[in-house]
Amino acid sequence: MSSLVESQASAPDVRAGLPTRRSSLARKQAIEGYLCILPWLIGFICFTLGPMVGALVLSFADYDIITPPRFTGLANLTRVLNDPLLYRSLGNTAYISLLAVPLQQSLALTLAMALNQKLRGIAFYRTVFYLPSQMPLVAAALLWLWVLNPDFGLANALLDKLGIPPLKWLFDVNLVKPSIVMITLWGGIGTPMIVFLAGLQGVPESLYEAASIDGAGAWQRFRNVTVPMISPVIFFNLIIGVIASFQAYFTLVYTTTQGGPANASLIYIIYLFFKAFKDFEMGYASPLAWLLCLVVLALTAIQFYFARRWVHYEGGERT
Amino acid sequence: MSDRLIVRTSRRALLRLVVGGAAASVLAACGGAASPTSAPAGAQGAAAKPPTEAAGAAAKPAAPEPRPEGTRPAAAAAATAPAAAPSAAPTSAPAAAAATTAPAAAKPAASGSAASLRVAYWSSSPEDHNVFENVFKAFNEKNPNIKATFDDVPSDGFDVKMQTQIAAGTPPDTMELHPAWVLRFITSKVLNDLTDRMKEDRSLYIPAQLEFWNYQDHLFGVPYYSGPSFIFYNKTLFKKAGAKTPDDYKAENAWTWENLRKAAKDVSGGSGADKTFGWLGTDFDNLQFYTCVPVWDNGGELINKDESAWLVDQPPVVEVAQMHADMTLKDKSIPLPADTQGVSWFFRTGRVGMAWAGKFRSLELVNADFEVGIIGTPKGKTGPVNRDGPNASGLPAGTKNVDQAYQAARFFGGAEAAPIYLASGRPVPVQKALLDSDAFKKSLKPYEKLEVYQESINSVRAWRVPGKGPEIGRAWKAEWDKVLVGQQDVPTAMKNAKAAMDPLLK
Repeated sequence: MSSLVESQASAPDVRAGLPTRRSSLARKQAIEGYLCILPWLIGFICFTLGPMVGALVLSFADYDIITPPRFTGLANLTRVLNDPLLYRSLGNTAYISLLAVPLQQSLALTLAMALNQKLRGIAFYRTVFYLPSQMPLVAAALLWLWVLNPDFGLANALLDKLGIPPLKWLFDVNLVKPSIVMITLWGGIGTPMIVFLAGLQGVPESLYEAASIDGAGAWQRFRNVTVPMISPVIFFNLIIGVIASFQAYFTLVYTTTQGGPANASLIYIIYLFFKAFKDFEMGYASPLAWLLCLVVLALTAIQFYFARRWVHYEGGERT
Repeated sequence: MSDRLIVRTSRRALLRLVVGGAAASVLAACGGAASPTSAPAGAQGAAAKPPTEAAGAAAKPAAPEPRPEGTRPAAAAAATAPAAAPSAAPTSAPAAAAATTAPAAAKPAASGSAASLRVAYWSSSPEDHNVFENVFKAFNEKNPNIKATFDDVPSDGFDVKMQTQIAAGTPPDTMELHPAWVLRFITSKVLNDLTDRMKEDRSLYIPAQLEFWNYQDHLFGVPYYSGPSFIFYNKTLFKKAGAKTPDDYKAENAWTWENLRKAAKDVSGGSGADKTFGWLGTDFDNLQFYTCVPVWDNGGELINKDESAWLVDQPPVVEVAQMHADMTLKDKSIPLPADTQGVSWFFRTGRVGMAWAGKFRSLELVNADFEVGIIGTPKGKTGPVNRDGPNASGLPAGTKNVDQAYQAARFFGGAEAAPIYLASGRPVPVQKALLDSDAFKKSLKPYEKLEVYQESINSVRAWRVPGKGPEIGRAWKAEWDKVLVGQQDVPTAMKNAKAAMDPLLK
C-alpha cells in the first residue's frame, strides 16, 4: 500500500522517466528484431543486393570472368539499343507471355471452380490436377519432347487418328512458341489453381444465396460475386504469372529447343544466359539483367496501378 | 517481474543461440567454400614447402601472364630440380622409349612428403571415370613423391567452372583443354606457356595434335586425347538395299563426297519407325565438328588466312552447303533434328547407313544388331583433309607444383598410361610411336581398322573457330535452321551467315 501511495505520489517523475525506459525497451526490441532477421539480411546483402550492385557496376565494363573488368563507359548500353537478337528475344518472350499468362490463369480458375464442387472423391481429382506442377521441369520437358516428336510422338498419332497431317511442333519456326505455351499450361496451372481454390473457398455461401434470391444466374453470380470476392487472388496469380513468364521458362526452353529453330524460341532469359555463361560477356549481360529487372518491375507497377480499379479487399481499399 | 525476467533471459539465450548458429554457419560456409579448391590436407604443407616459382605464383593468383620457364630464377630452378627432367628426356632415343623413361627421370626433389596435384578433367561415363582414376593411380605409383587426385568435373560447363576457379585464385594443377574454348583461356593469359618445357618433347607428338594448342608459336597444352573423324557404316543396311558400300567405292578408288551422297541415297527410304537415312550429317550446323571437312575437301576455306573474314558465301562453301541441303530436303538421306531427337546416337538404332564418328563411338557398337563397317573421310577436289576433337592438359597460371603438373600431363598421353588409357578404346594416340603400339592395337574391336585411324589422324588439319566461338556457332546454326525449314535458300543463308558472323571475329 505504501508503495502504491509512493508510486502515485511520484507519478510525474515516473512519467518523466517513461520515454527513457520506452526508448531503451524499443531499442532492445529493435536490436532483437534485427538479430532475428540477420541471417536473411546477410543472405540478401551477399547473394541478392551485392550481385545487383555488382551487375550495375559491370554494366559499364568489359568483363569475361578471367581477366579484370575494363571500364568501357556507355558502350554496353549503346549495344543494348542496337542488338537485333535482344529485340528478337524480347518479342519472343512477350509473345509467350501474352499467350501463356491469360490462358494459364483462365484455365486454372476454371479448374479451381470445377474442383470447388462438393463431389465424392474431389480430393483425388484435386491431387491429379495438381500433380503435373510437382514434376521436375527437366523431366516434364523431356516427356514433352517425346509427346511432340514429329515422327513417333503421341500428339501426331492423335492428329493422325483425326486425319490431320503431322506437325513438326518444336521443330517448326511457327509452332515452336505455341508448343512451349502448351507445355507451360500442362505444368503451370497446378499452383495458381490451388491458390484460386483457396480463394474460392473463402467466398461466403450466403453471398451466392442472396444473389440467387435476387434472380442472378450462374454467369451473373460468377461476374458479380465470385470475381470481386477473389479479385485479390486473381491479382496475386497474375503478378506471379507475369514474373514467371519472364524468368521461369528457362529450364523448359533450354531443355527442349535452346532457343531454336532459327531463334524462333530464343526467349530473353535464354539470351541473357548465353551472353553471360556461353559467351562470357558478363559486362554486356549485366545491363541485360538489369533491363529484365526493370521490365518486370514496370509490368508489376502497371498491374498495381490498374489493380485499384478491379481488385477489391474485404476490409476496404488496400493501402 | 520474474516472469518478464525469465522471458527476457530466454529470448536473449535464444538470440545468442541464433547469432552463434548463424556465425558458425557463415564460418562453416566460408571454410567449406575454401576446401574444395585447396589441396588436400596432406598436400598443403608439401605445396607450401618448396620455395618454387610455382608457390609464388599461387600466392599471386590474379597474375595472368603465362610464365615461360626460361624466366625461372636460378635458385628457384634449383629448388625444383624435376623441372628440368622432362625436357631433359634423351632426344636421340626412340620416341616411345623417351616417353617411358622421361617421367621416371623427372622425380621431384625429395622433400619428405608428396606434392599434391589436383587434376581436373571430365569423364563421359562411369567406365571412363575409372579409366581416369586408374591412369592417375598408375602415375602416383610411378611417382611416389607426387600425389595426383582426379577431380572429375562434369563436362557441361567445364570451362565455366575452370574459369571461375582460375578467377578465384584456386585453379587445379592441370586441367583438360578443348579446342572449342582454349583460345579464350590463352588470350586471357591464364594458361602457362609450355613452349620451352615441351621443346624436347615436341618430336614425340603428331604435329597436328600440337597445333591445336599452339597460339602465335607458343604451346599451351600437352596432348593426350585425339578423336579424328571417320565413318562407321551399317553393312547390313547396305546389303539389304543391294547398294554399293563405301568400301566398294574405295576399292574402285572412288570414295568421294559425291559417291557418299549416292551411297546415302541408296539406303534411304521407308516411313515412320522404319524410315532409314543414309548419312548422319546433321552436324552441318557445327562448323568445327563437321562442316569444315567437306568444305576443305572441296578445295574451300571457311575463313580467310588472317581469320578476319568468313568465306562462307564463296562458291566452294555454298556448293557443299547446297549438297547437304539437297541431301536433307530432296534426297531425304540426312535426318532432320526432329528425326534424331531423343536418341543419343541415331546410328545405333540401325536406321542409318553411314555416320560421322569418333573412335569413342566404337564402344557403343559392341552389341549392335547389325554388321559394322568402317572407312575414312571421302575425297573431294582435294584431300581427304580431316578434323579432330582432341584434348590436352593445360597448366593454369597460378598452379602450384608446375613441374609435377607437367609430369602428370605428359604421363597421360604417353606410353606409360597407354596400357590403361589407350586400352580403354576411346582415344586415338597423340604420340607418333603409339599409333602402331600394341596397347592401341589391342583396343580395337573386330569392326575397327587400324589403318583407318592412322589415315584419319594423319590427315587431320588443326583448326579452332576463332573470335566469339559460341556466338559464331549460334549465328551459323540460326541461318542453317532457316534453310532446313525452307525459310531461305542456301546462297541467301550463306550471305546472311557471313553478315552475322563477320562482326563476331573482332
